[in-house]
Amino acid sequence: MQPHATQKGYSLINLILYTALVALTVVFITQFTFTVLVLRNKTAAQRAVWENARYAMERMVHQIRAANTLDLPYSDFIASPGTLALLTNIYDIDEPQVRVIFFVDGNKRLIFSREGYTDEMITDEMVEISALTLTRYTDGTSESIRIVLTLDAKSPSSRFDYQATYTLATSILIRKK
Amino acid sequence: MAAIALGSVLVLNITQIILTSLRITNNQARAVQAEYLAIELMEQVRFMRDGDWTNLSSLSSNTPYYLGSGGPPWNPQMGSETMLSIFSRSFTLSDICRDPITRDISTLAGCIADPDTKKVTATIQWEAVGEGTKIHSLELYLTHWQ
Repeated sequence: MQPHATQKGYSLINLILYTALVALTVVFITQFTFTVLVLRNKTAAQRAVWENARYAMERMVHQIRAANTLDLPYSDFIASPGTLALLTNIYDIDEPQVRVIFFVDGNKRLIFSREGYTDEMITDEMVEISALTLTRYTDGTSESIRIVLTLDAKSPSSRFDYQATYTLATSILIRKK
Repeated sequence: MAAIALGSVLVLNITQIILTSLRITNNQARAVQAEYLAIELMEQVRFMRDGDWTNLSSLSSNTPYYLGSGGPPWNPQMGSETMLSIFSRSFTLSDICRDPITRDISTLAGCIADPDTKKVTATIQWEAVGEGTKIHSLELYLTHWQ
């Protein structure tokens, strides 16, 4: 009678353990990849709203500080989004003052309009303005504008990672010239 | 075993990098908000000065004040206000001393108090994610120029 040869290779238990380990690794890698993508999207959305808001606010503050006066008939301090119109010599001190306007268009982007020039898009396609509240304060001597600007990230779906909102608020005095 | 350890270290590092990036973005965004809130407070204090110098000179020095919501006339109250649900905002006024010869602002002995100039300090404070309490300050000198 021939003795049993020592069996080599994998037993059924080895195979089950191996399969379970591979399955666990695949699940972990998938979940990890998904989490990384979610966090990356969230960071991009947050960055888009605050960079756009900061730039938009900088542009408005710069124009208000340089303006000669508010252009009240063309401004809207009641509606949200509001409209800010200014008369300025910022581009050429020797020329008559020109009208510049900040307004929100139908695509919820902030637009800068300067008399005689093509409108300029201040905020990009990644974000939309959900609120632009403008308030005029005056005491007869001084005049200031309070701006509250809120931007949302444009979200292709309602997923958490694509959502971001950001608000900037400030007030600027009109330096009458 | 070595592969698992290496994989774990890699995963932890990648996660750490992404979370740090998210935290930095968030804190940068907060810092910009704080900057604009400080600018706003300075502009409001300047507005008060333009109205009447006594609006400032009647306030106590080195005491935190806030203006509250709404527009002029502001009625400064002692303490601080909460802005955008995150930030604590206040301003303080400090007396100024000038060199008797050069009239430059000075802190040296022998300088003369200047009641027509105030140093305004706007302070914004908030809790930054993973970085503790952050403080942003702006300083401005206002004079009784009218």
